[in-house]
Amino acid sequence: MKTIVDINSVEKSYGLTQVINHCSFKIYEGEIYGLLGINGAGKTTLMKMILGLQQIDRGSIYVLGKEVNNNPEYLSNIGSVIENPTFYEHLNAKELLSMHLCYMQKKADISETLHLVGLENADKKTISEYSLGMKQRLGLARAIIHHPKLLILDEPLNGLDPIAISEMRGLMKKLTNEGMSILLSSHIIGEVRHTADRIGILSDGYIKQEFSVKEKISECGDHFEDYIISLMRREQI
Amino acid sequence: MNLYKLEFMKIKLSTYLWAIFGVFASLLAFGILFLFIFQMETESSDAFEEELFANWNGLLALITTLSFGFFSILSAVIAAKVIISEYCTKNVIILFSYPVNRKTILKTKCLIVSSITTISAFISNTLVIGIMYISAHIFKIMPQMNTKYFFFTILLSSFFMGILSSAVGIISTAFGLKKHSSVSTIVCSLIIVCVLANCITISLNSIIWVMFIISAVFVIIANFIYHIMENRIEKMEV
Repeated sequence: MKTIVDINSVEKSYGLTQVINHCSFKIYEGEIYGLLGINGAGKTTLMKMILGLQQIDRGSIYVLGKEVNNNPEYLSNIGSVIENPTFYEHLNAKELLSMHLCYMQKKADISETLHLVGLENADKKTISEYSLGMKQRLGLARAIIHHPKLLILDEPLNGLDPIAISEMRGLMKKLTNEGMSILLSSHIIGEVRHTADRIGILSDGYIKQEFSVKEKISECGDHFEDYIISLMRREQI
Repeated sequence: MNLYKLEFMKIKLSTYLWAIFGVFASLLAFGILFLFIFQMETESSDAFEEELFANWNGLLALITTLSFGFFSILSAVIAAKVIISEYCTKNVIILFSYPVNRKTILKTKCLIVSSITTISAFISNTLVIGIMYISAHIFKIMPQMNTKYFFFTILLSSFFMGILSSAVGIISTAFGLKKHSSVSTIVCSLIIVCVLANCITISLNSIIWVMFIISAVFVIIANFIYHIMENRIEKMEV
């Protein structure tokens, strides 16, 4: 299987606090990798390091075989929704996505993407008129419209209603079937369990445990969530 | 990819065009007022007032100083919207996720702010002095003309004033970026304007040289500060 992301012994500190400590894992083509960890475990930091938004203190990250450094060209193959997405609120969805495509130097069908995320009827409203859920959908539309090979989603289901969550899960599966790889972070076990193919538990700054969801569920049965919670707890210092 | 077009999509240019028109209208009102002041108070005026209001060099220096103040602050306001609000809010996450060099984006933004400031300041100052000149002829108010190349003087001093205003805008932007605040950007430009405004009227008869020297010094400072800002953005973590 082709490796899309290769993270090798990455370290990151903020002052004296070591947030990421010898963290290593790989994401393969066409899979959804769920990154689970408690609040402050370093999930967002790790994602930002892949996007070049945070400097790497030690170690290396390769995306599609290219090392993450000051050359931003590799970013054209990545789509992302980090934290709560922000927009230029005076624009409408079509204008925003067209601007995004210009930056990414790619062409795509805007109407089709809006239909895919369920915003086909809201394309003429300005974004300032959107609800939180609609903004989340638009954030996802912006992340996938340029057909990236890697999609990074930081708690993407926040603010979505149950129907939208179910639709988003379906959409993620559809995208992976088309060959896209997804790195999904969350602190909600159920969210990742129903979506991811593999899960990595980020605790104490490194991937404490990595497993296939199907295999682990068949192994643990009803105790799956208890098992994950025990792994997510920080080591007592 | 046309980065300039993309940047213009992000801002409502009409807002700034109205602001520029407002500044122009205010400057024109001041200019017309200055023309009539000397007519109204000739008896009580002292030598400096006479030099300032009774000849075109003085009026030019006065209007250019006011224009410099207005446009420097306007430049900082535009920079606060175009640059500071982008780099100091969560918008920066999406901006840095594009496969475009960070330095190129900053350069585009700074060029947009500087161009808007320089062009509008130049046109506004030239127009205000021009309209004052025509009004003086219509109303038979003729402040002394003691410069041979007055038209040339207006064009050059307006040009240097536009350059100086945009340099102040860039310096204020760097300060605002360091403090992560739009308010700091505008306050910084206000402080610079307060200090510099008095220097422009030092020598009324050689305003071109005064404007040239001040703007040259500030362009060098702005250039130096721009490079520091560029390096900071290159290493910026969000």
